[in-house]
Amino acid sequence: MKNILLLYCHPSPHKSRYNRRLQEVARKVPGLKIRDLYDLYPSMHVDERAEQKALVEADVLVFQFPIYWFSAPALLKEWMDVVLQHGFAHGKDGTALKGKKTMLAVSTGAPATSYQEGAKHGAKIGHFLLPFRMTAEFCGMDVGPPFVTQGVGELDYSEINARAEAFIAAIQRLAEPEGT
Amino acid sequence: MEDPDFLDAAFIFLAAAVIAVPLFKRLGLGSILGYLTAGMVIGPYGIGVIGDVDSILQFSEIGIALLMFLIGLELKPSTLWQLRRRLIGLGSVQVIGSTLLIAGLVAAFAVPIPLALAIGLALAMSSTPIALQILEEGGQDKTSVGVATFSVLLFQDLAIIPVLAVIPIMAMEASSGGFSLWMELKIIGVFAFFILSSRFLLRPLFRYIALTGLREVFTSFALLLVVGSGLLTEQVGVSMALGTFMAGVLLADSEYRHEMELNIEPFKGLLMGLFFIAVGMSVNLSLLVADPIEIILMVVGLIVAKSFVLLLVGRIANFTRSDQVYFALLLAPAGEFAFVLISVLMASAMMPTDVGAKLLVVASLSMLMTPLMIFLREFVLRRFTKAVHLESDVEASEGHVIIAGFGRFGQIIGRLMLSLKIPTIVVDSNPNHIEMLRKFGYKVFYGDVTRLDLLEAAGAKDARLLILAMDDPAAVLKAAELATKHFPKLTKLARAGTRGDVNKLKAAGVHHVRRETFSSSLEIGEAALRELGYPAHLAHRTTGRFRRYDEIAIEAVAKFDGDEAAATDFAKRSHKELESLMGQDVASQFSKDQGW
Repeated sequence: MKNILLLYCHPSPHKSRYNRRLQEVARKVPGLKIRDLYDLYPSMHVDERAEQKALVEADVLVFQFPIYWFSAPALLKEWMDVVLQHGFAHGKDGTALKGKKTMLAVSTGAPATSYQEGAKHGAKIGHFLLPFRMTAEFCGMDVGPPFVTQGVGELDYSEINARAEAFIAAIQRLAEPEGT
Repeated sequence: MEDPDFLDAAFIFLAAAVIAVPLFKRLGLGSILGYLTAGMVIGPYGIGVIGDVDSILQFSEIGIALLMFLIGLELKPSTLWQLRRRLIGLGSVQVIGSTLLIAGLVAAFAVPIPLALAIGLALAMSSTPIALQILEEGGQDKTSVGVATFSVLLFQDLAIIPVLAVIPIMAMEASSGGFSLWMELKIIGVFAFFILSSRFLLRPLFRYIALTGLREVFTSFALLLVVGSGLLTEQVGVSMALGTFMAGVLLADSEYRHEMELNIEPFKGLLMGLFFIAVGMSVNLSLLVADPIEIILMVVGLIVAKSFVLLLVGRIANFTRSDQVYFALLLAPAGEFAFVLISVLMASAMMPTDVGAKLLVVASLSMLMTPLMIFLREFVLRRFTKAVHLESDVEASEGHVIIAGFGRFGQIIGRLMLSLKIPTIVVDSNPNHIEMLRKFGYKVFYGDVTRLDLLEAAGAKDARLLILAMDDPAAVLKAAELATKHFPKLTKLARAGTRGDVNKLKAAGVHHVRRETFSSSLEIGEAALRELGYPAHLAHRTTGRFRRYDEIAIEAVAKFDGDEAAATDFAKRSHKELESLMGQDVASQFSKDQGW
């Protein structure tokens, strides 16, 4: 069984039924560990040693966060800045993350129709995920397709539950690709 | 000499205490010396307004009982058990060593051996109330010396049981059944009764009495408990102090502990004062005047002999040199047991009355010496550490950080600086404190930063920072004003006590002011919010916002400088405003479930 690390980064978890539900179902996945970054570092002082240790122990990484202002919440950027150090994640001897399967799981308040050229948000969601995808690839990670849910505010409970099931299926596909 | 009636006597005692104690405290001589002197003045050998010393001494022993009860309340049985090795080890060396040494010295003057041994035992004991009061006033009661002193005193209390039983036997030179099996059984029975009643009887009784809601009944009950347990143990030949101490220990984990402490404390203070006055009164000045040289030589001999043993004990206990001296000075003088034992000896005709009277003078004079010697030691220590400081400040490098005050507050700052190898000079004005910190390897200088010459000596001219972390807000303010006046370029950081202090310190030119308890209180508040279900980051931001509003409010109060009424009025309004601001923020945080 692979070790899965779910890095959850939500500054206002009390406001998001969707992300809370995803966390609930993810907790039941065997071999999956959750690091709730805003819970661990409410003052934004990320403990880089602890984070690096958790990354090394994991085979599969999932980053779960809402899109804030066409990007990730501030703590995830801080996390990247202090954890993905030269010599650890990149550079000559920085091979700690090489080959690890990685997935981004993001949510937006606005529906997918708004994330189009010419519409209010100006471009498809994949466009805004590029910096995170590039960061992962720069560190030698094996980045799979993102798990995206849009128009979250419009979802009712059964739809949220369905998305949560899909989330778990996507994680399991990432961890145990067909044919292995 | 006609003895005054009760009210007159009370008036005399209270007046003597109120006049003498503040005066002596002011002079830096401590309260005990004040009481003792007051006693000497009003006693039969002074102006003689009070004649009957013995009954007062006896009555004031309730003060010692209350003291021991309060000490017991602070000690759980498990803590007491941890003390057992020190108690028996240090205590037995002290009691046996001192007894033999004194007996040897006395026997050299052709005193028969049994009497010499009895005198040795009587004078080997020390004064529990004097030593403990000095420890408490010096803030040393929880240090290793304090604990060791207490252990030895407790051992003496235990040792007195067989001693009181043996002396009459020695006196009669025949076994009159003194320390029999029956007596041991009685002692065991009493303590078994204590343990059982503390478990099963007292708790419901306390609840029953607390439920009446009458404070004075509770106080009466607490006092009754102490006096009762004291009387009960005295019945079986155990000292009252030891009995009440045991009662205290057994009630240490009672939920009524603090209530008892609160109620008994003032009685203890008053009666201890009375006890010290009584000791002062019992100093027979006429005997001293009649033969000063002999008496003084005996006092000095007693203190030197016991100090010799105590220094040895202190060395066994691994104290620093200065602590060894402190320990010896606290315990070297005779104690109240000397009065009891010598009286018993005199009554049994084993000791000639004139010898007994002389010994009583020696014992009480030596007790008088305790606070004096401690005062002298402090004085010498101050001088001595001052010299060290003046020598070593030469190495004060430029660009260093000065930390003034190395208590719990300053130590955290100091440890941070030292962990980063930032050149730091630490100054503290408490010699006892410095001694302890030196043991932990800190280089701390003695000095008072409210004095210009000390600031100069600490290199304030070339320092980068001056951090004022003293306990006393008045001293912090004074030092800040002084530093601003004489070293205007120096950056100053200061610890503030109250909100009012913040503005005063800022006005005095301090660059960074922090309230001593504000941050930690907010952290507990943040933890509380998390426990109440706030997400961690929201709890952090909410307390951060509270901090900001609160600091703005303090700044706003500054403009009412001096105008109390206007400031209070403003504080009330800003309190309302804070509530509504925080309320709005919370509302916006939780309004609908708008997240994604």
